Amino acid sequence: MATSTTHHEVGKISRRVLMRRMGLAALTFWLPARWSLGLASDADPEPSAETLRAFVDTLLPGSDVFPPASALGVDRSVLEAAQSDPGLARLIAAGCQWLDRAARSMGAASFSELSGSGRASIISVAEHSAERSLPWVLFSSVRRFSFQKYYSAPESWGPLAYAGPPQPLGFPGHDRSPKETT
Amino acid sequence: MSRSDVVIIGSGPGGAAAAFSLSRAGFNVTLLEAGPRYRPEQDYRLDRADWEVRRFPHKRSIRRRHTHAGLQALDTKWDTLRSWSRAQGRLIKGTHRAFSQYSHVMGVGGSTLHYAGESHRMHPRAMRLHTDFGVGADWPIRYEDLEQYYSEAERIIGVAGPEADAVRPRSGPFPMPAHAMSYGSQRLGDGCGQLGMSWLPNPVASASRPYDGRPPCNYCGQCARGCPRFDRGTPDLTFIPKALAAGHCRLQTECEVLRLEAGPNDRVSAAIFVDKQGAQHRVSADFFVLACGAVETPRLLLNSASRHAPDGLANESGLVGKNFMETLFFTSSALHPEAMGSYRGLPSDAICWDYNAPDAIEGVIGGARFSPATLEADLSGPLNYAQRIVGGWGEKHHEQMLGMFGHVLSVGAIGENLPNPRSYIDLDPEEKDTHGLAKARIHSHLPDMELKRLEFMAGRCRSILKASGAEEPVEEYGSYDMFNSTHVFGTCKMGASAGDSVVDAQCRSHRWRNLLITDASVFPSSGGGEAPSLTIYANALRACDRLAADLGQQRRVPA
Repeated sequence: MATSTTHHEVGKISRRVLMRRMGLAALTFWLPARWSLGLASDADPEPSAETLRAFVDTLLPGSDVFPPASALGVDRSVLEAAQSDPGLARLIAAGCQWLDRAARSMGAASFSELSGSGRASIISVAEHSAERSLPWVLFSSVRRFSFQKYYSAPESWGPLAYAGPPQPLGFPGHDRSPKETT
Repeated sequence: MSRSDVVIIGSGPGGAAAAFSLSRAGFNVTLLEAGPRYRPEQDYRLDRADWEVRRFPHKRSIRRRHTHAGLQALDTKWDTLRSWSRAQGRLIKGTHRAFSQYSHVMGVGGSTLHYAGESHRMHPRAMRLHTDFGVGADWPIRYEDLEQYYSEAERIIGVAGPEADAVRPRSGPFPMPAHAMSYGSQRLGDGCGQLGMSWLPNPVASASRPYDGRPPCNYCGQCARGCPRFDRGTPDLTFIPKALAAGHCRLQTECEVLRLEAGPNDRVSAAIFVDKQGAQHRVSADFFVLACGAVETPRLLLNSASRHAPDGLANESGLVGKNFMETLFFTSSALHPEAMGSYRGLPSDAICWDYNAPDAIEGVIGGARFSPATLEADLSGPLNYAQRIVGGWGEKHHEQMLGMFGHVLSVGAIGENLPNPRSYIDLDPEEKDTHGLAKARIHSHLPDMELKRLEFMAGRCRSILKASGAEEPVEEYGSYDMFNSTHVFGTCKMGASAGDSVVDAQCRSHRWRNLLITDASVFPSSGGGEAPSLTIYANALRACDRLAADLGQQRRVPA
């Protein structure tokens, strides 16, 4: 799986160092309130499916108990949504380019080729970028969308001992400790 | 043009109970509802994996029908009342109170379609605020005048409740035994016990056993998203089918009343409405009953101004829209070290009435009540925990989800909201709806008395959580920095005098004697946190019982 491929191991790197390597300009170009209006161009790039998959799997990685986001189709859902939303399509395409560019500044061929910690460093930069900048909008939008898709999949509920959805069974043992009912 | 004995506008609790009462008495009733019917099994899809993404499936938006005036500046001295969450920080970023929403459902059954079913009787002393405490207004009726109608409404909607209530005398027991409290609510009860506070089963219109053809509740906890099981006693499943079965009631949905026509003889002559296809109709009647809620009812009256009623219909006192009272609330949530499974159970399945009396809180007039609020806070499933409580991303996010999911307990308080001159409804001079009618404009202000009460409510919520073992706060929100109201009152106040009220004790306009109002806009006071629906039902039954008696009397008089 792409998220576990580490051809270009990059050790943990501080946010400040990463920002310096990538160049501040790439992080702070401001976008209008409706992000999608700011990136209209005649030649929008195609989003990289590999990069997007690596992105959502870093946001919601697999573990001993949780499946990775891509295993629940989160990345495919983003791409499907982008097909009917040109603004989202442009955001994802430009965002994936930004992620790959950030990865190259760290010596990797692309974002998906980075180690988990390298990817996490780049996402942390995006998370803490200026509001409405491309990295911040990318992080906020894809994280919100990914959380919705991920936690709407029953496969994510098992580790939490959540016996949903609420109907048709309800929670007949509601008056007892969950330890007694699971 | 069509004609009925009575035209009722609005099919929420006030309109549904009126339709039942009058059709049972043999009068031809036309019940006009601006919204559609909801089909529980189709519309409330709590069986879907993505159920949590969806809230109540509104089919018509109330937001296009009202605006709001600017709200008050926030003051650092009340910062402990600010809304915040662990994952998102302060929820209101600005320097002024924010307008969140007037939560109202347009449809058959009205806002009860997304309620938790709380079915409360008013505290008798909360109906005498002016006489006993010199604030607000008195009700022109007593608790005793409502008691038989409370009992009737409880039977019709099917209320499950505890055996005794020392404050609110009952002529009989609740129709059903109380529900078992959820595990989380039991722990909150432990905390209340440590603080010397009571913690009783909350009376709710949700079946604790098969009742009147309805199955018992299965404790999924998602009442606010709509109940697909038919176990909750909403008007669309109780009063309205019974009214239709009586054979004299005709329900017309998606028919929006634009205005009421006033005649020259102090009588309302007709209602003008548009149907789903946009065709305009005029229906006349002997009597008109208005029950659209405390925002839409004054809006319709003010939009019905004419040469016979130049300041708006029934507005001779100038009080239509005034005395607006909102939902004064505070909710606090905290993590408990033990897994509670706190997304399970009936919302608000327990209640503490200890501070409900008007003089129960030291230093302020007006009471409050406390209830579990995990489900009102919508900490209902994994997604809300992930976004609002846990936050973050990556491995750490997953680790924290494992440690936090189902661990949050919440306590909510709702308190008295006294009327003040800066809280009212008027017509927006700029904004019109799709029919060209002025939208309602909501003005809201919380004076210091309200904020002191809110401060007490917040403090008690936190104390209950702490005493229950939930010591790590994760989210709080309340009325101080956001207007967010479901229960609204007072904008067509009921009173004995034509000079200081809109309707009389029988809910009839002082001047327009064939016009009644039977929603919570007639409430002279809000109560100390009581949910209003049961009182709306009871008051509508009472007023229409009297109307039916008067009409029957008239019909018996030879021409």
